[in-house]
Amino acid sequence: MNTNTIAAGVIGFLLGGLTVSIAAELENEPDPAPSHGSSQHEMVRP
Amino acid sequence: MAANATLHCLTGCAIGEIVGLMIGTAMGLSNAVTIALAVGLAFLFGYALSTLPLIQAGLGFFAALSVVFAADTLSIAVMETVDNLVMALIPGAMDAGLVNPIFWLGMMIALTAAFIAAFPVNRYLIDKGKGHALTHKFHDGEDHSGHDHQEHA
Repeated sequence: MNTNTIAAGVIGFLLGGLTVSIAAELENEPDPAPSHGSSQHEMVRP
Repeated sequence: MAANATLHCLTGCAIGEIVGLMIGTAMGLSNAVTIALAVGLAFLFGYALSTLPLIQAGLGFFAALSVVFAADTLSIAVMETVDNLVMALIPGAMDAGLVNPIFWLGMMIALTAAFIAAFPVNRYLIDKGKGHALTHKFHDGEDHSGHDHQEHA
């Protein structure tokens, strides 16, 4: 097998690992409050 | 040719290094054991990647191995030293788990630094008719022992 092909595979593997780890990191982050504050409904009493 | 030789060395090194660090990190081994494992596997894969084409070119196993030992050892040693040093210097890279982007980013930075460090070494060796110049003549299928390697630099 051509060395360039193997090198491309290694680079792809590293990029794949980076992508998956970033995705895992983002998924583990605590969910911030919705941007429009929809979780903080104001109760309007008559 | 020096860039090609460095890439060739780096590919084998990178496979061994990545596998070694992944095993060490996943099993929670100490930094010293992880580095030792990564270096050992890097040499193994580095030599294997250079030996196989020579065997395919018709050279005997031990003859191919002795050529590769002479050609690749210095290049792999420089790569491994720089790679592991950079990896150890990046804060948290050695302790980062496999799902931590720092591990993968650190690996990319370390391997790039290893390439930059090994390139002048390979260039010097090829200029002197050593290093990958030794394996090159077997890939061509003829002996260029009197060949001037300056033109490849």
